[in-house]
Amino acid sequence: MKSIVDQWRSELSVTDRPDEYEVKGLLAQLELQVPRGIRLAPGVTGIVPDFQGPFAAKVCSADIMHKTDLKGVHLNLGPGNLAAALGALNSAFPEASILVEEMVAFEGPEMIAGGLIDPGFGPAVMVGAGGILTEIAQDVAFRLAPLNEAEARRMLMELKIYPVFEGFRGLRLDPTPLARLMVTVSRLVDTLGPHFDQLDLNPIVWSRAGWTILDAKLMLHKMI
Amino acid sequence: MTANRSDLRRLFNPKSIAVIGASNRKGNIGRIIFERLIPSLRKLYPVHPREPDIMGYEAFPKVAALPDGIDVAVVATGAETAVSAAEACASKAIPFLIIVAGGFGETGSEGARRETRLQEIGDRFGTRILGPNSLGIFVPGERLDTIFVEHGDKALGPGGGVAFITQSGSVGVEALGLASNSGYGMRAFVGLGNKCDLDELDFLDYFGRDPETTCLAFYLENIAHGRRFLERARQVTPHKPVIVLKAGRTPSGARAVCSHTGRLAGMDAVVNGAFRQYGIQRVIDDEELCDASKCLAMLPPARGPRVAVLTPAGGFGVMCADYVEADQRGITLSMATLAPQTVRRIREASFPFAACTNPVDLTASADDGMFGRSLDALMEDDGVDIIICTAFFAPPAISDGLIQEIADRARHSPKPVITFTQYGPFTDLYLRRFHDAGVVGFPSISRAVRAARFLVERARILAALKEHP
Repeated sequence: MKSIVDQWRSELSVTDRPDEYEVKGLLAQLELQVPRGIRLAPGVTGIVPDFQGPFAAKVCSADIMHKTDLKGVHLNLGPGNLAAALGALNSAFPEASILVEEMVAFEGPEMIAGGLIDPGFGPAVMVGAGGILTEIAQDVAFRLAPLNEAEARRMLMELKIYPVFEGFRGLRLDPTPLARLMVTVSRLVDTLGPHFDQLDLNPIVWSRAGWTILDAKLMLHKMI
Repeated sequence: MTANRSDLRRLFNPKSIAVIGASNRKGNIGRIIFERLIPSLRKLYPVHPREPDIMGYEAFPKVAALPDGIDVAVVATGAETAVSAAEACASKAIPFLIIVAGGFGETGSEGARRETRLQEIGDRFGTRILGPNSLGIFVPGERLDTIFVEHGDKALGPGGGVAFITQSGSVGVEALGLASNSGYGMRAFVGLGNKCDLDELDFLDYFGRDPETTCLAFYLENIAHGRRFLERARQVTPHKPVIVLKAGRTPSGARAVCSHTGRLAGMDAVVNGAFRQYGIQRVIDDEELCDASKCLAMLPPARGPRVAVLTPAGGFGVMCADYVEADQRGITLSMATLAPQTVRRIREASFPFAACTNPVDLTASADDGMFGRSLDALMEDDGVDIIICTAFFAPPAISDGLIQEIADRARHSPKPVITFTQYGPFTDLYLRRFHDAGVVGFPSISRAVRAARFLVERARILAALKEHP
């Protein structure tokens, strides 16, 4: 994993300030599932994606932390209104790139995974109930990184929503690939070492028999 | 190096002890400590600049005048003198120093400088230092006690298994009182103080390996080497429970928190997760620390979550069932369904009007023998993992013989039996009598049920360790 991460860091468009497209590129290299997407340079609007709609168009910049709040996200776009959304994003964020992605159909709840540096114990990871209710529900479990799959599974079992992995209301969500995702996340956090600051993968959804990461933020330390 | 870094045997079982600042003056800390050490029957060497003897023991005018080969020096002087006394002890190759005085790192820059000097002395001579600002050590089994404040330890019998290591002296002493009111088996008490040298890691390693320790209980405000403490704790938890009260919440670092993950970590959610990961049982206050260590030191882990309740009072059975069904600590308990044979045996042992399903209510007409026979039936029921036994002494047919009746069965049972007893002003007395008979008891239903959760949690930790050693 170290060579992948080092190579990836060396190719970032702004040193240690990866945008969403770049973070998802890294996740894909680590064999995690992300939606298909393309990144448009600032000002570009005339584009037909080589994948199926509906599309999501989002402002794509490491400088914009809360893109939904700033109206930087347009969802459920078809071929008819994609260009208009891109135009709106371009005028609102003229300096920023735009990420156009396929919208992913999913079932079950949205999950969150993440990482941080604990001042006492060092790198740690989290998994829990994600989406817009993340901070209201506070249904999360933490462990130190790196961790093994059995420990990742115990994190999931600690969650109040764990019954969704056990056939609750007919849902068939497999916890095993989510536990494996957590192991990968913990290794990523560990591999980034002193460069790592914070990571949010939220939401993560069950789609096409796998867990897909719909949004990803990775904050690195600026090494001076 | 005069002392092996992890071998603290000479500290906890010294042959000879010097007390710097020992005094004949009543109320003086040096006098209290010296007096406490007399029953230890170790060779004692008081050091006092002028007095020819202290309480009948030949006194030495200065440290340099002491004979060679002393194991431990308790430095009971004020902060400034303590530093020079420590240096003198270290140059005499005394391997362990206990420094009682405050006025070091906890008091500002001058104190911090003094503490640095102590550290340098330790590093230079290889002497190990406990403190400064340490309450000292107390090893009931060795009758070794350097604690100068009154501690309610009258109920502490020798032979207990809990190593109790505390960063706060007063929390330690209060917890000791709380525990000993109702019977508590302590292997050793250690006041860490400012941890200028010896810290929680040293005692984790030592008591982790000490065959007489069955359980380790820590009160910590900061963990000096977080990861190392966790990793070393995991070496211990397969063999004995490690319980930590981590007080004081650490702010999540100076850097701005701009992720969901960072906000959700809040103050110490990571500590919870990390403790679980490494098999440490976390508690939140002194009562929990004492209750958890008391039951984990004496009882086997629970094989499962199914609780049977035996009571002479229906109301307490119902309350107990409510506590059992409530989900706390993330540990789910359930009320056991008794096998038909168990129900029949209890019915034969009691009355036609007793409630022989769980909670088993023998009614206030029960006698000692009915309790014993009903306990036998519950202990032999494979559908029961834990038994909570309510022991009341007010019913007319119940005698003090109930204690032995329960103890005979609970004492070496592979299935944990937790007793709840209440007897007005005699509650603590009866809890102590249970303790002395080898039975773990608590004075409330909620604490008895909470103890059951600690035992289930312990079993879960062992299962996880087995899965991934």
